[in-house]
Amino acid sequence: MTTYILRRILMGVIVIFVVTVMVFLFIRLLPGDPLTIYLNKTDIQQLTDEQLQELRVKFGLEKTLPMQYIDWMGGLFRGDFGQSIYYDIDVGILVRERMPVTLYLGGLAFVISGVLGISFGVICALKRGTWIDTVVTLLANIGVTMPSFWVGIILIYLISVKAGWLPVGGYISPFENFWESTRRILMPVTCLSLFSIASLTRLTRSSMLEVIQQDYIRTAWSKGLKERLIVTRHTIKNALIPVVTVVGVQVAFIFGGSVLIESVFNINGIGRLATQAVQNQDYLVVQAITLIMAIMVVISNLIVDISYGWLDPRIRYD
Amino acid sequence: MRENAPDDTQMATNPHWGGTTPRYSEMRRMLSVFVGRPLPVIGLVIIVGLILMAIFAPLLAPYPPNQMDIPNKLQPPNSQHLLGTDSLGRDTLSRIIYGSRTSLIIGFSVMGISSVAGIVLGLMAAYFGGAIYHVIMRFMDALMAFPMLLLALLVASLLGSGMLNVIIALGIGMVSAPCRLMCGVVMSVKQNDYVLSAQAMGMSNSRIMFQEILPNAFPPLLVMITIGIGAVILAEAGLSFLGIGITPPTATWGGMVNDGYKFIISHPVLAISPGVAIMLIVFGFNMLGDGLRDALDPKLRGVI
Repeated sequence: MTTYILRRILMGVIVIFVVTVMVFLFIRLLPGDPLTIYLNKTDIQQLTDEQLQELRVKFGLEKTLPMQYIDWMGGLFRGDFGQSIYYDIDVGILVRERMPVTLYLGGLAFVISGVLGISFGVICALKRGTWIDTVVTLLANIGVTMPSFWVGIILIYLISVKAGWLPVGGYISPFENFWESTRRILMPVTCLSLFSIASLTRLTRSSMLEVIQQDYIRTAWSKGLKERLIVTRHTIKNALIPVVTVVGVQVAFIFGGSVLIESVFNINGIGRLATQAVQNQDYLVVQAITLIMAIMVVISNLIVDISYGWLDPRIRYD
Repeated sequence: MRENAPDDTQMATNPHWGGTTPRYSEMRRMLSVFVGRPLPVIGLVIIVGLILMAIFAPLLAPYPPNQMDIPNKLQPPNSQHLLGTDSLGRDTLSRIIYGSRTSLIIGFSVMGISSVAGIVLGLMAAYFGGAIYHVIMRFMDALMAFPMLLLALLVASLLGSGMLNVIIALGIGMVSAPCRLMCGVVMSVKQNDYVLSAQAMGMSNSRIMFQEILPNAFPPLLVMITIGIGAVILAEAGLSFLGIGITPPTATWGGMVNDGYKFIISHPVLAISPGVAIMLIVFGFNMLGDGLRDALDPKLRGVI
């Protein structure tokens, strides 16, 4: 088990290294003068060639790419993400300020979709062929086709505009006013988790149906085990193995969804910051957000892999 | 389907492969599984319908998609404009009909490019193993760590807007799925006797990869590509919704939802109707993919 964990951690570190190289190259391969990463285009036009040259030296742009990468990584370890050209403040501060919002919404969506998606899938599989199965499966099939931003707009129209039950958007920290905060995040969290609930329902259902056909389930029945035991110990436990593997995908998907949903509901989280930064050509902010999101996905994948080896002993030996 | 015929042990144990059954029955079985249930057929009908709609858009659309008519802007649905007009007086129904072109072109070309690239990379990784395997797969792991939409946002912002750049941006995001799938299939079949015998006969690596191994992966790939097209169309709608990628006035469903969002209180149909179109097309591809999976999966033989 220890070697398995160490091997997985080493792989995770390699993947994070590749991620950093990719993020670094993405930004450096921008067409045009690399100085535009650090300065406004209008500022650059006002400077003389000599001043530009000085600035290039200051930002280390005269060095080779690998040297620039090392400089950049050194900065990251010191917590230095550079300066935002649009907001004119440290990118680290900006990201730290917006991050908790996205993590709170995303975390809730993640837990809700896991609990509901798996329960719905299990129920459908156990009641297969009944009307519950038909209805829930149909809803899940529709759920994976709906664009989340569009669902958000429809919810705003129906619940906020027509019925007037919930505020249209915005975000308030739960520590400030828990009730008001919950009212505001109800719709965004619903939109963020909808696709995940639907896809987990589909996945769990088909995985359960596959396990139910296995010989060991028939053996369990013929041994005379209680139904509850067969379902929980034998069926669900095995059926969840493929479900656990998509946890990392879900994390990435919820982050991607937050880019859209935060724009729809006017929430100042990291996803909306990313869209605004792309529009403002504020590349150091884009770079920092992309990097942080990707690393979080790698880490959640790593945790999944390790717990997976613990759940399913076969995995450890390949 | 001869390449996919099961080996002797399967034929002996499976009653569907008795000696009296003619060989072509497998194809017939797949067809009957596929046609036997309503959802895959509905999916196929939706997709064929939408493809025809995209091809014959100029004949079907009552107005040109970009024809502005400011005096008649923001009309509610009426007999002249079945779904009303937008803030520039453009006919919503016509724009939805033309929007199917954008979605389908992007869906098919992104999956085309990314599956060719993914198949080649996955084949190479699994067939050669060793260092090549590790380099390719760690690269794919890293690529999968980026949320697809964020990656597309980043690439589109680097390359600039335009249909081709959106295709490249989404294509990069989609490479890892076919690559991993291919890699898994090759790993499981490359020790089979027929691959070893092909090697012993001195067949070239590329010929073994493409002629002996690739056909094994065909059924799961087909399913993945079908469902992938739906995922790409959803992602493209997200990009257009954020106003990144395809430039106006080209009609895109995601862009139309965004335009309509500003008038949601007075004219909800503007934002709602293109969303229904997105749902319909993604539903079609998902159902077709599910139907193909059930029809092509040899494990389900005799179960359905």
